[in-house]
Amino acid sequence: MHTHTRSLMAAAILITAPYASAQEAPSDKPPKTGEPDSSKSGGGKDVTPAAEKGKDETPAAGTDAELQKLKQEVKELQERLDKSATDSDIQGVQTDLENFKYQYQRDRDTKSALSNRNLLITGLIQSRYGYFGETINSPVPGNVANTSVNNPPVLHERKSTFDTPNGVVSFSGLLFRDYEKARNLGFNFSVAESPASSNFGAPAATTGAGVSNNNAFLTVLDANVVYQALPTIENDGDRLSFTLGQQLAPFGLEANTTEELKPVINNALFVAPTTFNLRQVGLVAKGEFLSQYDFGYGYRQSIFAFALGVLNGNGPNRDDDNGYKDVISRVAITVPADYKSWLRELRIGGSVYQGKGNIVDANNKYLGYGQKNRYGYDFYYNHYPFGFTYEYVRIADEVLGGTAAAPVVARFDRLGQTATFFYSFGEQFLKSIKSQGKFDDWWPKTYQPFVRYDSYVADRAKSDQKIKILTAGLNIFFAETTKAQINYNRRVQDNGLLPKVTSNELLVQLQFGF
Amino acid sequence: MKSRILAVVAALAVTSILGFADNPRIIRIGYAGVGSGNRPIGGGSYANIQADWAAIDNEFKADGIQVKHTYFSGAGPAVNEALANNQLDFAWQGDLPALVAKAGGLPTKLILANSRYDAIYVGVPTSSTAKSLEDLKGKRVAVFKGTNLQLAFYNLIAARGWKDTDFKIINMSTADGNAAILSGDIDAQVTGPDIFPLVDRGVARIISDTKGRPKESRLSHLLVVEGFAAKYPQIVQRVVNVSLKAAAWNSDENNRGKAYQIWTKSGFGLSAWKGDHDWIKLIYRESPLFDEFYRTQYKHLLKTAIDLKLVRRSFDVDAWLDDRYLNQGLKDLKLENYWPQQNAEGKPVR
Repeated sequence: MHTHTRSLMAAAILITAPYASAQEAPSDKPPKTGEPDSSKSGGGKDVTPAAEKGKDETPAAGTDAELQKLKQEVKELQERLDKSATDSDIQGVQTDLENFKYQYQRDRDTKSALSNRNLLITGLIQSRYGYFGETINSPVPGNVANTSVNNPPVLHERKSTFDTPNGVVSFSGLLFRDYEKARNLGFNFSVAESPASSNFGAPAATTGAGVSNNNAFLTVLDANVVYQALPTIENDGDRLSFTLGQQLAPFGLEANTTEELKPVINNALFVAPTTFNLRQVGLVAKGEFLSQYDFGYGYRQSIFAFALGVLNGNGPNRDDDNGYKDVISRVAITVPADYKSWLRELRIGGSVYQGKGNIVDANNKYLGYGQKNRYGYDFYYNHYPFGFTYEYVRIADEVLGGTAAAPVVARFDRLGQTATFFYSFGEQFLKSIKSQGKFDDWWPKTYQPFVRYDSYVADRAKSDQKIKILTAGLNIFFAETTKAQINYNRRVQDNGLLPKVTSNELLVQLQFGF
Repeated sequence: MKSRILAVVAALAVTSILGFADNPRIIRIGYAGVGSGNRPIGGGSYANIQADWAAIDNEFKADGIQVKHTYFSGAGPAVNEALANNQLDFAWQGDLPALVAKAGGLPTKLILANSRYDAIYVGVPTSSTAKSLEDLKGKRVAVFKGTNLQLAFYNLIAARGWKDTDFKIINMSTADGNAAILSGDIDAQVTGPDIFPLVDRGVARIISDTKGRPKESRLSHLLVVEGFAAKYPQIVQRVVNVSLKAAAWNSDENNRGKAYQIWTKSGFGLSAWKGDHDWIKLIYRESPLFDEFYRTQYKHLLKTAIDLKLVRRSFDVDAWLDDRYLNQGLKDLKLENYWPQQNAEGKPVR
C-alpha cells in the first residue's frame, strides 16, 4: 500500500472514530412489535461486561472499496478544515466578547442591586375585601365581626371595604459562612407597613384618638442575628441556635406560624391579649435534639425541641421599662415515626412565659409591677393531606383597674382555645412535587378547605365574658408565592360589657409574595 | 317515577363504590431525576427512550387515558415521598431509595429491571492533588444521600476495606455538588455521568469509577404500586410491553448513536453518554431481566444497606421482584431469548 494512502487511512481512523456512533440521525418513531432481531443478542458470546471496558474495535481494512471510502472521508474532513475559522472570524468573536464584557460591566454598575454580603430579599403583601353582616358606623363597635385594620376617623353606614392589611419586606443572609461545618452567622431584618396609630399586627384602635389616619409608615419587625452553634451542614444532626435582637417570641403554634403557612386570615382571639403577635427584644436559644433524618424520603424529625429566652417584654422597637426580664420557654416532643407511619408529624408542645409589666395610671405615674404570665399547651398533627391543630392558652394579667380617682390593681384570668382542621386537594405541601423538573412556571394547584373553632374568655371570674368565632374557609394555591383565601366568620359575642350579638363577615384575600 | 329515580341513583352509587371502571382516568409515572437546568427530561437508559417516544402516552391515547410524567429533582427520596402520598402509580427509580421504602412498608413491586452496571464516578477539582481514593481520606466528599449513589459509594470503599467514617461525607444533590466542586467547597463528589460535562470543561477530573465492577455499581428498575397493579393488571402489562420494546431497541448496538442523541435532550452532552456507556455492550446494560445477577445484586445491596443502618429491616427480595408481567411481555413480543441471562457474578450464562 502506498505510504500516502496508509497515512490517510490512519488519519481517517483516528479522526472519525469518536464520531462513528453519534453521527446517525435518531429515528423519531418507536419500532414495531417484535422489530428487534434476536440474532443480534449478545447471549452466548464469551464476553463479560467487565472485560469489555476499554476495548477498541479496529475496522478491517485493505480492500479497494474501503480505501475509496476512507479517501472520501478524508476529503470530507479536508473540506471541514477549509471551513475553519479565519483571522477575521476570530477578530469578530473577540469583538463580540469585548462588547459583552462592556455591556455586562455597565449593567452591573448601573442596573444591579449590590450588597456587601450574601442577601435574600423577599416580601409579602395582602390585598383584601371584607363584607360585613352589620352596618358599621363610628364609633366602630367592638362586638361585631368587623375585620379591618386601617379604619378612618369617621365611618358611616359601611357594609364593605377594600383593605391592604399587611405588607412586609424582608432581608436575610449570612454575615459569616462556615464552609466546613455550616456553623453560620445569619441575620434577619424586615419592615412592615403599619397604621399610623397602632403597632403592626395589633388590633387597630377603632374609637377615639386611637383611630388611625391614612399616614401609614414602616415599622421594623425582625432585626436579629442568628448563630448556629452546632453544625448544620448535614440534615441529620442536632441543632442549637442563638438569636439576639428583635424577634417573635417562641410561644405555642398560632403566634409563631408565618403568614405563608397560616390557613386562616385572622389570628386566634387569644393572640392579641398575649401580645405574642408583636415582636420582642431579647436573646433566645432554640435547640433540636434526638434528630433523625430519613434519607429514603428526605424527611427530618427532631424528637425533642426546646426554646429558652430572656426578653424585655414590652414589645418591639423599645428598650426595657423595668428591672425584670421576661422569661420564655417551650418544649415540644415529636413522636418518633417512619415517614410511612400514620404517626408522622404528631407533636405535642408546652410553653411558659413569665414576666412583669409596669402598672401606671392615666398620668403615667408608676403604681407597681403587674404579673404578665402565660401558659399553654398545643397539639399538632399534620399528615398530608389533612392536618389538625389545637392550642390552649391561659393568661394571668395584672393591670390597672378601678377608677381614675381610686385606681386598683385588677387581676384577670383569661383563657383562649382554638382548633383548626384542614384538608388539601393538591400537592402544594409535598416537597417532592414542588421541586419537580419543569419548563415553565408550573405550580401544583391546591385547594385547602378548613374549619376553625376559636374562643376567648376575657375574665374567667365572670360567666358572660366569652367571645366565639367559627370560621369556614378555602385557600387556593395557584402560584409559587400566591394564594387566594376566602373566610366566612361567624362571631358570637357573650360579653357582659357590650350588647350580646351574633354577627357575620366574609373576607376575600389575595396574599402574594416575591 | 320516584322509585325509578331512586333506582338510578342507587345504581350509580353502587357502581361508584365498587369501582367497576376497567381503566384508570390517569396513569402517573415518576422519574428519579431531572435533566440539566431542572428540565423534565432524563437520559441514560431505555426508560428515557420510551419517554422520548411518548410510547406509553400513545399506547393509551385511544383509551382516553391521560399519562402524566413527573421528573423529580430530589431523585429517589422525592419519588418515595410522592409514592407514600399516593401521587404515583409507576416509578423509574434506583436501588437504595426503593429498598428503604419497601423496608419501611411502602407497597411496591419491581416489574422491570431498567439498567445495571451503572457506574459511579468520583470527581475532584482539576486543581486537586488527589490521584486516588486513598488521597481523599479525611477530605470532604459530597454524596447525594438516599440515592443509589450512596450505596454504590459505600460498596466501592468497603471493597477496599475502608469505612464511610474515613471520609467527611457531605449530603448534596447532584446539582449542588457540581456547583460545590466548581467553587471548591468540597474536595470530591460522587456522581453519575453528569461529571463528564465538568471534565470536558476542564474543571474536574475523575480519579475513580466502578466501570467493569458489577458488584460496586448501581441498579435501577420500574416499579408499580401494589394497589394499582391489583386493580389494573391489564394496564400494568401494557406499560411493561411498551417499555420492553424500548428496551429492545435500546439494546441494539445499531441504535447506540441514536440513543445517545436522544439522551442529549436531557442537557447532558454526548461526552457524558459516551463516557458512561461506550465501555459496555448495550445488550447487557439495558437488560430488563430479573436474572440471577439482578436478584443476587439486589439481595447484596439490601444486606449492605442494613449493615450500614440505611435500611431498618430485611424483606423477601424474590417476592418483591414480580416477574409475571416481564415474562408475559417477553412472550408477547417474542423476546424470550433476546437478552442473555447473567449469573451472580455478572457473566453471561448462555
